Amino acid sequence: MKLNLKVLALLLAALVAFEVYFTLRDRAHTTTLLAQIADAHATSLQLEQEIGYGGLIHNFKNYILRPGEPAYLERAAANATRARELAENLETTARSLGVEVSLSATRRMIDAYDGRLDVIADMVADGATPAEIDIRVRYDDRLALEEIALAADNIVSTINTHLAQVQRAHEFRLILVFALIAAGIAYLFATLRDAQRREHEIQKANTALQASNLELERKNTALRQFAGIAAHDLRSPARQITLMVDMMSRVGADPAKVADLASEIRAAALRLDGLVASLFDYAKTGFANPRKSDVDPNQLATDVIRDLASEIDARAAKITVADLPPIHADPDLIKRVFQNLIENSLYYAREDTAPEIAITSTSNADETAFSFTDNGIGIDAVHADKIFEPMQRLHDRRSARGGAGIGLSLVKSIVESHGGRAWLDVNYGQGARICFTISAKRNGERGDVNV
Amino acid sequence: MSRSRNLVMLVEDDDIDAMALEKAIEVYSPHVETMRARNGEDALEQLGVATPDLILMDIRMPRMDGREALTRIKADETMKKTPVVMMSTSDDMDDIDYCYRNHCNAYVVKPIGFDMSMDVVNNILNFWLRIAVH
Repeated sequence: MKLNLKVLALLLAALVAFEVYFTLRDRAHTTTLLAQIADAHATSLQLEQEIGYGGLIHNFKNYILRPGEPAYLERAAANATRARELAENLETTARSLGVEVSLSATRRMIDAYDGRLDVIADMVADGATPAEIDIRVRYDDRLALEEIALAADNIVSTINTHLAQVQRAHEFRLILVFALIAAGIAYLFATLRDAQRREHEIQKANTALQASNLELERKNTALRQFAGIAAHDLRSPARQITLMVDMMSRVGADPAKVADLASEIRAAALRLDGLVASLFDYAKTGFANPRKSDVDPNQLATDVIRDLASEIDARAAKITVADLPPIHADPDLIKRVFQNLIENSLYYAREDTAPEIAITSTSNADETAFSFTDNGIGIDAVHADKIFEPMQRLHDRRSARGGAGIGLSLVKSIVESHGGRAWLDVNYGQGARICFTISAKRNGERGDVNV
Repeated sequence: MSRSRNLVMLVEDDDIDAMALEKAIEVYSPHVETMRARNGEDALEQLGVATPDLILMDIRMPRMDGREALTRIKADETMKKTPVVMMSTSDDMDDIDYCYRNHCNAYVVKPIGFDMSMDVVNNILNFWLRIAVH
């Protein structure tokens, strides 16, 4: 199933937002933990100071040595109160981190010193010497001081463990998120490339379809013309035959009139037969799909001139063929084009001049253009398009210039089936010049038409 | 301007068809004169000097076909009053539609057989020459 690109983009954005959120949260957490470390250090230092030789113990000893100065007594008592608070704080911090810390030895020491302050006061009042008092109130405080250092270490190492956990979780998440983002981007690129390739294929198919459509349009036009021919040209002689047969029965026994009508009927029947043959030829050749191969047009010209030798000789025609380049086309169909164009020139030659026909060509990268130039009666520019339609005679139907009228329409049809075009050079005045192109593209390439 | 006999112009490239029309007119309407043009171009040229009462015109002809000749006649101020009856072998709807759109006075598909040809021509002449402007 194809993932919607919009959904994918949203997912990637959500991943980035997720990562940013957790990074910020981790940073806040780390800051808190570091603050807790500093706090634990500070609290334990303060506690040590409050108890140690600058604090409770210091004032306690001084009070023994200088009983006349009650300030030591007050300071020692204040030290004890403050130390109890700090011990409480340290234990609270430890509990909040899940560390079991007991400062019972410390408390016992604070209570011991605090309690002995009254004893000192009593002994001083009784006149005891400092040495006597000291022996009486001596207390071993080493255990308590070690306990504080141990508690601080415990708290700090626990916090450090937490910090390492946060760091590991952060790294793991980062790797996961970046892997997902990389996969998403890779998928995105693959999808885009896929879409590009599909679009290219669609374009290719479209081009082929357009070519097919053009060819179908061409065949449709030809079919419409074909229908027009059937509706008019084929019915005309049939209708006339009926008409003349009717007339024959009315002219009576006049043998000359009967012979005239019979000869007209025969001519109409022959014309009908010729039309059917031409139409069949047009349908067969004009709609054929070219079977292309490499063709030497010089050889085609030679073959056509040999085939038409008797007509060429009869009219004393002169045909010159320039050096024509090879083309990729259907040899039979192109030979037919050559033949029709030469026949056309012979047909429309001037009666008082020997026909001269020149076959030349020019080429570029896309196509080869052929020209058939003659010195005949020429074709008026207004008929430039009409001459390529089937059954369009420019001259009267039954004059010497008549004819079935499919020659040039076949030329057009064949040339267009090769992806080329045919036209009358309207600028040429000394006869007629008909040109056509054959595409240089080979099978399967653009411009090659095959339906 | 008045004439003692009606004049009909036949525009037809086929000699047999033209002959049949002339024959029909000769048999049924001896008072009608005919003139012949071989295609649209020829017809327009002759219409420059002659003024027929009716034009019977084929469609498929060399040089200029009946469709174009009809269009030109009906676009010309002096010629457009002359009734034009198209007579064609073709019953192609495209031709019929084109001719009526371009103001032909009637479109007749050429009949089959001698008797029907005679009748059709007779009917056309009876109708159109009676209302023709003299």
